[in-house]
This record gives sequence, structure tokens and C-alpha cells, in this order.
Amino acid sequence: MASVNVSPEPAPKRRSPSRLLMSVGYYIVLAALVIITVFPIYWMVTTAIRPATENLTYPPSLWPKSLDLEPVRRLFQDGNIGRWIINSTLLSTLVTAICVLMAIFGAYVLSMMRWRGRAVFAVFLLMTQMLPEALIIVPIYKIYTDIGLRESLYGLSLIDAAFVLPICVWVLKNMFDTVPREVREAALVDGAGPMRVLFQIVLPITLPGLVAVGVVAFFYAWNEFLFAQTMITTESSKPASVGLASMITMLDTPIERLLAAGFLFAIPPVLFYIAMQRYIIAGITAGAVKG
Amino acid sequence: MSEHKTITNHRKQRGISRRDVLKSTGAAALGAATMAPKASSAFAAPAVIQNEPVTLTYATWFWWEPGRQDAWRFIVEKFNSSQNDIRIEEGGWPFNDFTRNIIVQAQAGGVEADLIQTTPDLVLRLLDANQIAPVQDVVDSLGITTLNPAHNYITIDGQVYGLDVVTVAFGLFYNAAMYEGAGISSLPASTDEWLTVSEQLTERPNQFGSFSPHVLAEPESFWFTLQQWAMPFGGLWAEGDTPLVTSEPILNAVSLFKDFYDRTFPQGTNEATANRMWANQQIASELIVSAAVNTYKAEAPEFYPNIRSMPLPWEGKDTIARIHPITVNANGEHVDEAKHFLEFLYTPENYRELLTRSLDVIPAYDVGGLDDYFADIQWLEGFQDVNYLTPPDVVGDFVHNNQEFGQIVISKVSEVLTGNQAVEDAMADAQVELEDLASRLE
Repeated sequence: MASVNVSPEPAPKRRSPSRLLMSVGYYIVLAALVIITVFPIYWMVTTAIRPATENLTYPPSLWPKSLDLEPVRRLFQDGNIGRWIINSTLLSTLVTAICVLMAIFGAYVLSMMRWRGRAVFAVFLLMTQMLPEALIIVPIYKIYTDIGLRESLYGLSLIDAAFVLPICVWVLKNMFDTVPREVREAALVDGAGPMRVLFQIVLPITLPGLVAVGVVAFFYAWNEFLFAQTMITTESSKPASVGLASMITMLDTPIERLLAAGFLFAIPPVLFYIAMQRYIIAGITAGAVKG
Repeated sequence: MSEHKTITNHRKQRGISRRDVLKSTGAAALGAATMAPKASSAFAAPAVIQNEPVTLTYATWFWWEPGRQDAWRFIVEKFNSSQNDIRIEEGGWPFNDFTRNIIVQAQAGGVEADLIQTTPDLVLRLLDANQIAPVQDVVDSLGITTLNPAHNYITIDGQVYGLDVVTVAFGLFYNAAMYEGAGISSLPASTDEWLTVSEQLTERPNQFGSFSPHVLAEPESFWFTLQQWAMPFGGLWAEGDTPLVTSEPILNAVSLFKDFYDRTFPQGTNEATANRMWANQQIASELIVSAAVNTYKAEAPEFYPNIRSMPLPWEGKDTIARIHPITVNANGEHVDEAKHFLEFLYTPENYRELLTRSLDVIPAYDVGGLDDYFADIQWLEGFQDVNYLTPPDVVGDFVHNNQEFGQIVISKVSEVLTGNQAVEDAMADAQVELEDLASRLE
């Protein structure tokens, strides 16, 4: 009878008390951070859907005791919230497209081509970020009036793109800088032209950076207020940032409606970010395992 | 020749290259750009079409104000129906962004709207910039001889440059139900009594005897209302270009404000929340302007019947009244048509209709026929027998830089509220900064 060697089951690993304590502490900190992050959103939603009397009671209750959806109903009935959000989506998409396209070429020229004045130009590009919007609003308004670009989301997208483009170029330039010169040179030696190197070699490697640039541009255009509010007065063309502000009047601020609108306003960028998130994380982790 | 053909054939075989696309796109764009002006001039409608109605834009924040927007839309509709030559179109921005946008347009070459609604400060800035036309001819043609003297500060060489469409005066409003509920049968006859009553009605954290804006993050409303607190003491914040914030009446005013803040305000509450609390019957009294009442009628109809105003509990019954003139763009293309609308607006019948529909109580001229209307307003009492002061009366020459003046004052008053500084010290600091401001503005 053959004997069967049964190896004893490995004893379950016991965590040392200190490791367990650290683990618990880690989750407590994590939970606290989640609560801190999520609570304002939760508060926005609950304030929007519970009766005003409950909102004005001190101390306020953490969860609604009753619901009042009248502000939400009035938001859709009286306002143009749907139109505003569509406009913002269109505007942000345009700005993102312009910025991504322009930043690719701008970053490539700054990162991979050698030309006199390149460093100065790069710094100069960044200096445009130091001009507050309010400082240049008057000349831009004048120019836009003269060329008939006011009241147009397309026109507005050009201003927004111009303002966020330098940051996009810099972000992407830094990504392009990480592409080893040898890789590009090998492609050039193999007969690829600069455009082919850009689109077939550099961009696939730096795709996460490109997505990050898109996110930056999208969020900027989504939140931008001053230019939009000055250039667009037609109700049907207003982006949501301006539309929401128009709910605050001289003598009345409909808090519940405003918060309901604020919640709706926050949804599209969050969805956009979720859609792009895996690329951004890929970008962060890219190179982490490379030797 | 054969070589040329070969090259051509080779290109054909290759199909469309990126370079070809770029070239053709560029050519198309250039062509479009060259064609565009020709096309637009060829197909554009004639600049002036006979018998086509003229459209005037009226830039105001009223289109966003609950209650008042309805009154204005009614009047505009009435005007549009009364004739076929002129149409009024809504323009402007909500109040918070209105002045900035008008200034941007003025600096960029000219305000676009034909009719421009103004605040007491904005009208002066537009006047300085030669943006508005005199409208004395409208007043003369209607035979109005009783125009409110508050128009004097926008009258130059006998020509008035705007016509008031809402006079906003401060009153001391209270919630009659809360007063009655607390057994308060006689109204306060002095500020001390008002403070005592307000304290009696304060049951923190959910009920407060009074409120006035006091959050630094809301500088405009803070300063707007704080100016009124000097009225019980006959105080002026400045005279000419001399700040008077260390004068006894102003020190008394700030002390009174501090007492109310400590004993009766929902401290730290912003204006929007306080308005909701007032409408929710959690605040018993407020120094607010009459124009706000219409908002409550529209937005809080169950609360509106409880609103009352009390006779101002101080000697002299001074109160600040601000006119808001509608003006005609002097550089617009339709000055005459704009004046025609003003003429329509200021006829007694139409003006009366605007006033009553807006729930306003201070007519810009003796329009008559308002007795029945006034008799029906349950909150009017406090607005009778008062002495109106205008912004230039209260802040002197600083009316041109009212917000800068106010910013300095409220930052110091905030230090008093938080207990960081005594009233005298804070106001002495403010005086120094305001004198600096005066010298900068010279």
C-alpha cells in the first residue's frame, strides 16, 4: 500500500496586530476622504429635493424626512436647463477638439524640433496664462463685435481654446519629451517623415497625455463663465455656466432650484471623466514597470 | 513628354495623398474666405426696408426678476400692440452681471442697447462717458412738472438724462404674525425698542428677531444695507470728498449694527438663505427695500399677507431712496424711437399700470389715481411720512466710486462684528483708508 504523502495545509497567515491596526487605519482614512469628497454632492442633492422648511431648520437633518420635487419640476418647466447643458456639451466638445488638434502640433514643434527661439517661445506661450480674462475682455469683445462672432458658440469656442491651449501644449510637450530620441531617430532613419513619426510613433505612446489634455480643455470650457457671459446674451445660446448664474437675481435666489441645476450641471463632466479615466490612469502608470 | 505622362499616371495610381488633401483643403478654405464677403454683400437684405418695424433693445435686469418681469412684459406687449412701427426686444443680464457688461460694452466702443436700464451709480458713469441722451423733451411733451427731485443729480443744464422706473426706498418691514404671536401690540418707537423687541423674538437657532446682510463675501448687499443703518442717527458716510466714518452718528450706527448682530441676527447667514428664512417666517424684521416685496408675492404667496412695514422708529424718519432711471442710448441708431417708447411709458395711465403691477409705492411724478391701490397695500404704512435721501446725499462725491468706498467700510465693520476691533478703532482705520481713496480719486 503506497503511502500517500499529504503535505500539511499551510497555516493561514496571521496578520500581526500592528499590520492589522495599520490596515484598519488605512480604511478609516480612506472612508473619511470618501465622505469628505462625496458629502457636498450628497448635500446638494438632498437640499434640492427636500422642503425649504427642512433646509432652513438648524441643525439640519442628515437625510431628508420628506421630499419636495417642486423645485426640480419648476427647473424643467420654467428654465432652459436642457438647452443650456446641450450648449455646454457642444461648446466643450468643440474646445476639446480644437485644443487636442492644435496641442499635438504645438507640442511636437516645441518638443521635437530644434529651432532658434524655441525656449523663449515656450515661456512666452505660458505667459499668456498670466493675463487675467478680465484684462482682455474689452478688446476681445470689440473684435468679436466687429467680425460678427458674438452670440455664437463657435466663436466662443475659439476664445476658450485660445485660453486653454498654452496649458495643453505644455502638458503634451512634457509627455512628448518622455519619448526617447532613439525611437524617433530610428523611425526617421527608416524613412518616415515628421508627420508619420508624430502620428504613428509618438502619439500612440503618449495617448494618455493626449487624453489628459482633452480633459483639461473640456473642463475649462465647461466651467468658463466670463467670456461666455459677455459674448452670449441670447437665451437659447447660453451655456450652462451662464444659465445657472442667471437664476440668481437681484432680489431672489431660488436655492433648491439652483442646487438641482447644479447637480445636473455636474453630471456630463463626471461622465466624460469616467469615460476617459482608464486612459488617464494608464498614463499615470505608464512606465512604472519599465526598466 | 512621356516622362510627364508617367509621373501623372503614377500620381493617379497612388490615389489621394495627404499632401493633396491638405492642398485642396487649403485651396477650398482660401476660396471660401475670398468668396465670403462677396456672397454676404450679394445676398444680404437691404439695410433699411420701408415699413419694416424698428426693433429697440431694452437692456435691463428686470427680465430676470420674479414679479417685476411680468409687469414689464405686460407694458411692452401693450406698447407693441399700440402701434406697428416700433418693437421692443428684451436684452441685458441678471443684476449681478449687468453693470460690468454695460461697462465692457461702453469701453469697447458703445453700449448696444437702445434703452439702457441703470442703477443710481451706473447712470452717472454713462453720463460721464457721454453714452446717454437727454430726455427732457419727453418730460416737456407730457407736461410733467412734478418729476421727483431725486432726478436732480442726473439733470444738467435743465436737461434730465433718465427717467426713474422704480424708486427703491428702505423700509422697516416686519412679520405681523410673528409680532402678534409674541404678544407685541405696539410697534417700536425707537431703535432701542426695536432692538428689545427683536431680541424678544430671537430664539436661536431657528428664529431671529432681525437680519441685515453682513457677510464679507457679499460686499454689495452688505454695503447697500449698511448705509441705511446711519439714518437713525442722521449720519452721512461722506460729504463731498470727505469721509465721515469717524463722526458720532456713524460710530453710533456701527455700534447699533453690532448690537443687532450680537443679539438678533442669524450670524454668518448669507442673503439668499436669509431671504428664504424671512419668507419661511423665521426672521421677524428686516430693513429692506420696497421693490423686494413683489418677489415675495410671486415666490412666497402664503407669507406675503403677513408683511407689514412700521413707521421708521427714529427722528426725522430719514431713509435712502434710489431711483433707477431708464435711459436712451445717445449713440444708438434709434434715439427718437426710444424716446417715443419713454413717452408711452410715462403717460399717466401706462406709468400707473407699471407701478401697480410692479407693486411699487413711490411714483416718479405725481401720477394721480393711486389712492385705491395704496389703500389695498397692507405693508405701506412705513413708507408714508418719511424723508428721502439720495445716494449723493449719503456718500457725497464717492457716489461715483460707491462700491470701493463700501468695500473699505465693510471690511472694517466686519472686524467689529467678529470682536477683533473696537468700533472707534476700526472706523479710524477706515477713515485713513478712505482719505487715501479720496486722494487717489482727485
